[in-house]
Amino acid sequence: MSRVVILDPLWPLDRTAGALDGLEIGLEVADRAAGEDVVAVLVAPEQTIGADLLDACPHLRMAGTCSTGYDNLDVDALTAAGVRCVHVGGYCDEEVADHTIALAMALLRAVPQLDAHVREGGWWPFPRAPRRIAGSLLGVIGFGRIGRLVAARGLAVGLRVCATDAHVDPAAIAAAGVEPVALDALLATSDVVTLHAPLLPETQHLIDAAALARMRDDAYLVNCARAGLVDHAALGAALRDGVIAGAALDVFPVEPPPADEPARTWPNAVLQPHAAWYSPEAHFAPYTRLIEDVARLLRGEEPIGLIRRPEAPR
Amino acid sequence: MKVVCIDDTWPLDRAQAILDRVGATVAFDREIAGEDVVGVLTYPGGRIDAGVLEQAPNVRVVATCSTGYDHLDVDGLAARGVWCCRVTHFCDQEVVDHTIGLIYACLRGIVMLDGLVRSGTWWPYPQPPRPVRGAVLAVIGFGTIGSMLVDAAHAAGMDVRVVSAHADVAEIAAAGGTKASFEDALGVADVVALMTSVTPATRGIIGADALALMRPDAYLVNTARAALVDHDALGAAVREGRIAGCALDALPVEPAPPDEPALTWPHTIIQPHAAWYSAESDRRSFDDAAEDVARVLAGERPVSALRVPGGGA
Repeated sequence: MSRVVILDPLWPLDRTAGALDGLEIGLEVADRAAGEDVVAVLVAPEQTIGADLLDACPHLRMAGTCSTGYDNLDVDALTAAGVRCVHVGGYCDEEVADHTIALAMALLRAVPQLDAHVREGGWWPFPRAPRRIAGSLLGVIGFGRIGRLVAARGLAVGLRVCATDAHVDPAAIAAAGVEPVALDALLATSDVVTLHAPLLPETQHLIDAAALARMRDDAYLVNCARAGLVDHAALGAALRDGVIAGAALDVFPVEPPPADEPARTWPNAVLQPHAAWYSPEAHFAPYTRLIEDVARLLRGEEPIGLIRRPEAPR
Repeated sequence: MKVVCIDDTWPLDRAQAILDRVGATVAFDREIAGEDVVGVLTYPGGRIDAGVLEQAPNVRVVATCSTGYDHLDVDGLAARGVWCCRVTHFCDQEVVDHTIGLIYACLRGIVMLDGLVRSGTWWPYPQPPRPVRGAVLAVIGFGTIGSMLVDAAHAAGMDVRVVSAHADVAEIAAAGGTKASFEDALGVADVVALMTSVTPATRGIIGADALALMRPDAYLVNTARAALVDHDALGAAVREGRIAGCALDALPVEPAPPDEPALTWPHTIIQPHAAWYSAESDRRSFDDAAEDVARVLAGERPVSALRVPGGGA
């Protein structure tokens, strides 16, 4: 009997096994995938799948990630080898947009910093002066599904919003009530810069020391996307040196972050445990949707979350 | 003509620019004395009563850079022909901004999750972050700030229920809210936000009975006044998990003393009476007071007078 191997240790087997009923397939959570009987391997966003998996699983037909971002899959190599790469798009767009705006407002109003200030015996807002939200400029990098929702939420709470996206017609950005701008202009003018781009070779370290230097010294950075979009060491230096005013990070170079993760010592940093996607409603959606795509594959249908159809699918 | 400012944090260059147009000079002094003193700028820590006229008999106006005016002897000063002025609405937008920031912070667990990462934990969360879109917000009070909050929360996709004794259904609907009874609003709310002043009718409005109406997963946000809430009853409800948590920008004693009990409550965000603040509102509180002094000295009526001198309202 063929097997589906899940490498994500948090995968809820009890909630997902039913999707494969009647399909003559085994489903297991393991810490490695190997064997001629393995037809699908499913991972969490912090786990990677490269083409070398085909050495261990020569009959692999599907590589899936239970996340919207799929930078953890070597899509080019796997697809060229006939493996279907599958992700879960759109299951948490509203949650990420809510969390992003929550972090932008928490930074502008200095909410976590002021809470800590009171607990250290301080009072009055002056050490971390809160700023007006209404009229502050939110710069959205990446105007896809989530970027659009973030822009709409920002406008709702009174922010002005500008956005940049090389793959979106500026007229479509303007139609959403958002000013289309170039990346450099966005960095130079925004009170809060928020990242909603996929991690690709060309977006790796999009926010590096030079980009941080372009930002205002009273500006904030929010990253609920992927850690690789930001040069982590350069961000730490920018916060310590006052190049920018603060940052909120929901993603880290290593997740969970190890004990020596330097961001814990950075000033004016708000740290989140990759939680932007989460709500009780969204919690099980990536797992159930990905396993339903496995079932589709086994029934001879095309998975809904297929990233790119192989020319010669297995 | 001289205006004496008794607040040593006041930006005097800005006050002087305003008073230039009436030919008055402003200076900081702890003493208010002299026949040339015609106006006084003060603050909540600086009490002024009619006795000021013994040393400075020609004072015509006293203005405070605050909305509260407990520190002004309005009756005594008005009886002696002195205008008493305060500032209002100088921070409406800031309070709306901070309140909606706290509503989002509660529902998305921002402060709790930051603490989690710093303590070396990643998963599971002590309380689940929840969607903001579609969440029910109960707004208690529908004045200027309350109606602005309703408008913003509705635009952000929240289902807003409004409790107001004076506003009608249509007025509330125009801002994006639904009028509700106090009991109904508290019973359905994901978040309860207090947007009302302290009156005999609202003092202690969030007591043990009101807290018992709230959902166990609901949050209370208070950026108004501490006297609206029975602080001990709130602490018991939060500690016992009868509500999910709270965010407080107003405490019974401010600044918070070291033994403030809320410092030990779980799922509690404490803010140092910060909702009013931005650089703009801070300046405006000083500028608006100086503007009213200038109006009086120019023979005009001040915009935020507490009483017409010499009697009447």
